[in-house]
Amino acid sequence: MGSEKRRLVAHLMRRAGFGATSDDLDALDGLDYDRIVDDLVDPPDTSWMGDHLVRRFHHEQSGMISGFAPGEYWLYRMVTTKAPLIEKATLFWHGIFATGYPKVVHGKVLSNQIDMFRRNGLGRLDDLLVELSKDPAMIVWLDNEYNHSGAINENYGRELLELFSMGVGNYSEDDIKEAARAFTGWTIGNTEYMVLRSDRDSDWPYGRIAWHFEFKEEDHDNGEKTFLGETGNFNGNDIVEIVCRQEATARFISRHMYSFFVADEPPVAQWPHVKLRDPAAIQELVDAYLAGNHSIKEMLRTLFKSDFFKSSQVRYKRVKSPAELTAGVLRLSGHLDRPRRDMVVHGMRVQYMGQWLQNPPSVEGWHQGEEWVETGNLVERVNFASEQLGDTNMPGVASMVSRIVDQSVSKDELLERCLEELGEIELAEDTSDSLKEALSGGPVDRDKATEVLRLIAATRDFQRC
Amino acid sequence: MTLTRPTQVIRYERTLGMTVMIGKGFYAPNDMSFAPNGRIYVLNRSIEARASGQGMRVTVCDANDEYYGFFGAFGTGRGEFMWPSAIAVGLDGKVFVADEHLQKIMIFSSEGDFIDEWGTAGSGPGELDTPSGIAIDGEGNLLVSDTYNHRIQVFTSEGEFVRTFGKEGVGEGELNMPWRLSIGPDSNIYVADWGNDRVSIFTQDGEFVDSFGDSGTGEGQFTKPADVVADGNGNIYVCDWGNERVQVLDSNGGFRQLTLGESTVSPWAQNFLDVNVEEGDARSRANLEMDDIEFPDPNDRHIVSAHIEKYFWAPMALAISPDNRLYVTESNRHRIQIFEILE
Repeated sequence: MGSEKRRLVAHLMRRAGFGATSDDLDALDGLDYDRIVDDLVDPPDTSWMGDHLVRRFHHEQSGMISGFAPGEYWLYRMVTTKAPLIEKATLFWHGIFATGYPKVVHGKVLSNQIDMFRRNGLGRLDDLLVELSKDPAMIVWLDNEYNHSGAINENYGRELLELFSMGVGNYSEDDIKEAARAFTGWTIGNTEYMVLRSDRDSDWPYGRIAWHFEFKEEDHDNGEKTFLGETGNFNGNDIVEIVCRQEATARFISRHMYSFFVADEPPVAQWPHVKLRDPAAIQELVDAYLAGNHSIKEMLRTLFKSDFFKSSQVRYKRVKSPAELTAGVLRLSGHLDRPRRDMVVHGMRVQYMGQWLQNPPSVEGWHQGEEWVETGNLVERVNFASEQLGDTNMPGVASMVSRIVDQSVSKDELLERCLEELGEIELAEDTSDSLKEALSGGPVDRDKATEVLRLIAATRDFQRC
Repeated sequence: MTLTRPTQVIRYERTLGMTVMIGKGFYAPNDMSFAPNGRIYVLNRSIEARASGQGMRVTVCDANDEYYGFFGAFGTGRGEFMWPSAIAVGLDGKVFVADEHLQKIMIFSSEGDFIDEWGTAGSGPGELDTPSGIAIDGEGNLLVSDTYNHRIQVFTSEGEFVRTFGKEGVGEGELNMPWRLSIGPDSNIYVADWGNDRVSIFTQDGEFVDSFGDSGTGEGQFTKPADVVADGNGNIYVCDWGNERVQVLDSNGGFRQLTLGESTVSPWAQNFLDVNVEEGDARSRANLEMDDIEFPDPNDRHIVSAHIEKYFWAPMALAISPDNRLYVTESNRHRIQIFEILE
């Protein structure tokens, strides 16, 4: 087993990214922990496989005509990026600002929204929420194209406060109405034609036409509004600015962040009724938000450097989401060393595990944590991980197996070496004992090493991070 | 490379096709070829089939918007497609289709009946790793862009290996993931050297002749070119895929013209809009050529083309018709823009 520092870095890479290979950890050995965190939040290299290579072979991921392509394209980025926190933060925001295909019916605009999270996901919350309010997919998802001066549609105003920033109990129904008034006239260009095509799932005559934000001044209610105790001729920008100044917003985002990056919290709907797992940790994040001018990056820097994050008490306390599990396994297996048609299959496996990216079950997003694990999708999760990591045709697996066998590892050392190769995975004692017992017979050779990798991938511990 | 003053060499004329998986139209078309019988064979990659594989086929039509039907289907069996990548019709009317996932070349009759297929995965002589472009020479041999082997291979129509040329690199005569290729009126072989952002020209024997272009978005520069064809007037047309445009060069590589595309509504599309009155009316009230959209990166031509329908979006293949028109096949817009060649 590697040093405590190596295991801590492995923990960091599982949470801030999608896990680290043994080679990744070797490369980080010479850096101190805080420097590794700093490089994650301010990545010096954001390269990945690249748009051109993906689009050359996956024409569907170029035109995004279907609801499958955006998620598959995103999976490529998760698996091949050198800046994993950007993708992880993007996944974090997608879970909160969940927007889905069945109503938008436009893969390209959903993918553009994910790009927007990529650009703004580590910046100031104010900027992110303004961009979210202008995001064409969000506008249609929450009906803001029907929010008119003199005839408001409250849907976006309500969700902005309830699900995207403050949480129930921190605003009134009047605040919702006033927020909705401020967002009147925030719509998409060519509204009638684009919404009609969306309603009909029309890709005629020439494929999807991407949507763009349009402010219709003549449809904007420029009158005086009173919102969260402040009065003025507010527009959407003003509403976001006021929202982001609220401590309730800092607490709401902090709890989401804790749940996603540290340890599972219950679904948002239960928050008013369930105590915080770690109130001191939330306060630390709230303070970072307020001191850092609402910077998400500074919150995450604080989080990853905190004692509550480094604690062994929170390791393996989160159940990996299907996207996290799949991306992590594919990083280890090395299967996506080039664009491969099998991406279609990988994308479907994520769906079978219960997470169709850009198609959440509702505006609330997915219920995460233990709810990812149900009988059917647990089988899918275990089968996927063990198939990939038990296949020596995968370049990453072949490389791991060679390193293990070439080092003439003894039977007693085999399990530990395999755990190291898989990124310093730690097993519960009973799991470890069971595996050792099951692996006691036969010589240590390529087949045996492969079998151990496959069995580790099937353990309860591997499903967590 | 010598830059010369822009000249109008081509002029937009009209558009062929529309988006459909079934019947009269195309779905993510990625290549086309003219046949001796006057018909046009359009290869449709379609979406990456998960079950039915609908739309993955060859559409047969002509330049006068006549639709003759289709052939081919999704699958891993003989004569079936997974990632169909290129199409070429021989002088005898036989239709050759490459599949860059299944590593094979399929042969169909002009009526679409499957005849045979050949191809072996690998990197040795005569083996293929991702065949992404095909052309047929005057002797009926097939020239194949062997993408990940970074070379061009020549086979007889029955699949017997003849010769190979090119290897991975950036030097003269070297290639980096070549995509499509064509044979010019000078009998030279024109290759879209995708990874090197240039086009390279070889003799029939594989001797390097010249190369044009470098990386960039300026005139005479390319970003991942997908195809290149030459006409009898000394013009070279480059499908500048990564820049979402087509450029025209002179025979020395000098810049002559570029176009971003200017599609209008094709007869097939107009028929759809006439029948679907509500959608046609809503379209007539929309402004699809807005030039004031605020893009996160206005230099990202892929995003701009996603918003402006008349522009090329994923142009992937070029062909010159017997009546001297340039056909530009666009995958993401499911159509072919046709340009008259003026000089």
